[in-house]
Amino acid sequence: MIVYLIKRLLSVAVTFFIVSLVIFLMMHAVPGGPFTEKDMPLSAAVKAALNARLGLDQPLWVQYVNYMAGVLQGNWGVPYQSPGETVISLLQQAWVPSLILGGSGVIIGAALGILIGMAAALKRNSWIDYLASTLSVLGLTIPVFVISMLLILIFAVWLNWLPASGWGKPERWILPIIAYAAIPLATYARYTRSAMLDTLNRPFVTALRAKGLSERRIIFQHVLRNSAIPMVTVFLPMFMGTATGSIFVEAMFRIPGLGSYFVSSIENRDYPLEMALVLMFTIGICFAYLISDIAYAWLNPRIRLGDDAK
Amino acid sequence: MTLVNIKGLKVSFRQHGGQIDAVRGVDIQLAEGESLGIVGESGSGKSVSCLALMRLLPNTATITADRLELDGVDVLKAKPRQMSALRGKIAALIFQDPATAFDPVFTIGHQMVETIRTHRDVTKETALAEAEQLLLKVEIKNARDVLNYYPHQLSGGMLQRAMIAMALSCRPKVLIADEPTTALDVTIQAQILQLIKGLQAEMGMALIMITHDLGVVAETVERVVVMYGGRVMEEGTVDQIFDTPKHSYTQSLLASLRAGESRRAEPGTGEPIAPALELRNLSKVYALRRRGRIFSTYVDFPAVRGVNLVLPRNKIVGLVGESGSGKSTTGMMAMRLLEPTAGQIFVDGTDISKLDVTALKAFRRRMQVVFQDSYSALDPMMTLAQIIAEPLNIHGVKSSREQTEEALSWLERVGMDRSFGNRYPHELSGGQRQRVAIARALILGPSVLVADEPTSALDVTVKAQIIGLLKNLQKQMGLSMLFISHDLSVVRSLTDSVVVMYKGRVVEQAPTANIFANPRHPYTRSLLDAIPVTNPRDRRERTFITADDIAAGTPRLSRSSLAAEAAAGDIPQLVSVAPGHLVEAIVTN
Repeated sequence: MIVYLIKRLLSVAVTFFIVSLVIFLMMHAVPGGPFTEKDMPLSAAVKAALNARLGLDQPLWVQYVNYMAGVLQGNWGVPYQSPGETVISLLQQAWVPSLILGGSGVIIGAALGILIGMAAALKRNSWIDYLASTLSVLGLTIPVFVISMLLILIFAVWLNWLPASGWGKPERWILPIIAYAAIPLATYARYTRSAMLDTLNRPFVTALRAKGLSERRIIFQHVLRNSAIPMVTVFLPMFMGTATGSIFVEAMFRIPGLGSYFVSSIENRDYPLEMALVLMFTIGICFAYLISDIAYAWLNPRIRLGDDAK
Repeated sequence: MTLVNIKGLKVSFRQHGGQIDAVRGVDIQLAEGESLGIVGESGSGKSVSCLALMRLLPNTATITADRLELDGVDVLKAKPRQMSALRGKIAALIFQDPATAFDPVFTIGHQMVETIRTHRDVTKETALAEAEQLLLKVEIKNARDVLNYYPHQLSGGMLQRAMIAMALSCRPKVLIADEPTTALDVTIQAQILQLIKGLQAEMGMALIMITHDLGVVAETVERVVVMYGGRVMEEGTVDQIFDTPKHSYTQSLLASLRAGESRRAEPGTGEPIAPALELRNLSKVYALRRRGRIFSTYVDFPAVRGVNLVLPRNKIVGLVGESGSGKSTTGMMAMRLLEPTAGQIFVDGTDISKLDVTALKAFRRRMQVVFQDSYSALDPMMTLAQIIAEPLNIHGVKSSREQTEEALSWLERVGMDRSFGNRYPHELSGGQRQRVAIARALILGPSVLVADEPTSALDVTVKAQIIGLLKNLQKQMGLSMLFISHDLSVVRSLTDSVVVMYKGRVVEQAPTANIFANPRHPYTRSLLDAIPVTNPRDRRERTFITADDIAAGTPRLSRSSLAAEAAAGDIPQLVSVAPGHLVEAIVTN
């Protein structure tokens, strides 16, 4: 197990460096730079001075080495768009709204999705099953920004129940959370339904009934535990996946979170912020997979103990 | 008192195209302490009837009955809570495949404790102690360890014992065993059957043994119900059924059970011809991974060790042994479907063990194989005509029209209608699929056929038909066949000689009649002893031998008693004890 963990951590480190290199190169391959402006062009001399101060006049590999050396020492640089702060301090403020909204969205969505999926599996071909299929198809096919717009249109514009956008008061959180919850809900409803149906059709369920166990115990102890094995593998990666969604959701609802900084850093060629965000997501996704693999092994004795225990 | 009272039971399943009547009016009675066998092939309604009694059928089933009572309770009217109280407590069920009947994510102990505590108000500790006692009762020696094992850590035989222990945990009045030994090796089957029989007598409970194997019935029960097509064909004591079967279906079942017993030793022709297939010193070593603390190490596991085997022309040689004995590995290596680690393979006198892919292709025409699981061996996306014609296509024989024509004529040769040519494998029964697999194997006119357990997934009567078909085709085409099987009754009726494998080695080989009449190696004897009797009067208490007993029981023969010269030594070697009869033995001076 320890060997396995070390191997996996090493692979995270390798991934980290490969991604950093690829992103660094791609970032600089995009034409233009932080000070290319159409409306109020800076003079060539000022531009050169600024580039020299930020080290952008050096060869690309030197820039990369300097940057990575800084990162390894915990110095992620200064964002060009607000030179008064560091990248770290900016992200420290930015992740709060994203985590609160995204996190509660995923958790609420997943919980509801699991309940709906269970109900659908247990009452197969009933109205709730059809409702679950409809919901999951809609949730998976309608893009997040369309859902966000519809939410704003219905609840803010027509019904005037909730504020359309912004950050701060809890009532402003409701619509973004619903938007965040859509994909996890749809995914989990589908996943739970098929995992439960799979388990329910396995012979040991009949064997459990034959032992005289109550249906409730069979479902909640045995079927759910067995179905959870495939389900844990999607949870954390999906959690990180909402990071992509956050770009749209935060833009639609004007929330000052990671997603909106992502967009603005790309627009402004804010290299240090862009790098920091991408690398953060990379590490997040790597660990999400690592943790779900460990959870999978822990839930599944076949993997935990190996087959050669005979 | 009547424990089980079934009258006029009818069960039908709703399906896409309408409904299927699985049970059409069945009457079964069972008194306390009585043992009853329900015999029939798959689809006869035997399992469905018992599942209906326990109300364990899926929602798509419609059950009607004049009477459906378990321990005096009307099962059709019982509430879910009442049903739960009956299940496990009054009637306990054991299933065909123990590997799928346990929840894989909980330990054996957890699942046994759960069962006990469902029906009785005892503490966890008491239940755990009881579970351990039960495991000891079913002859699991390391009971305490087994409680902490997960299902995948136990072998099939051990799991079935644990399943029986769990079924007995609430002292049920009737034990319903649904094909409890079908998934097990023949030696394990004999042990499990003896165990069930012993426990039934000891605990005074009733037994319903559901099986397709009349041998199992002959071993275990007093009364028999024969079912076919959802109806009871015949009912009587086990002696009546075996001695004076009234119904023609029962007679045909008995005939297929007893096929082969009438065979007598035939005088050997003695004429040595170049064999169709010869294996010399064939070995296969697998590297097994052992997990270490930091590094994994690899240990050699010899699956097949130095096997010599001769398949004479126009003969059928049986290769028998339990699962893990290396018999299938040997068969696959003989076909070069698996690369041997060492040794030579001669087909018609040519060593094919070192040939490259192109050179081998020519030999592939002469050697074909039929597998156990015909369903996964047939491409589901191809029609039967395409499947059967495919070998012709691969070897570029004839035009495509002629290929199809030949495929259709082969359909007829294996006893199917030409109109099946456009159908797909999923539309066929197990027996029909095996016929198609045989046609595909034989269309190129091979000289050697390896049949790897071709009938073990089939019902008794279908099995007999397939064996008959193989026999006829073998005669017509002059095939030489290597028949790999653990089913000794089939081997007895079909083969000319038998090779017994044990732990990767050949321990005995002889003409079929000799090996059944005069087995010399202790493993062969234990294998033969485990065959279910074909007559209930032959029932007996069996003693089972362990691997240590077999090792200790290796025959010691003096040099003078051998039929051919051999050097004396402490290492067991294969020696000749009679013409054509080889046995592994230690030779003394």
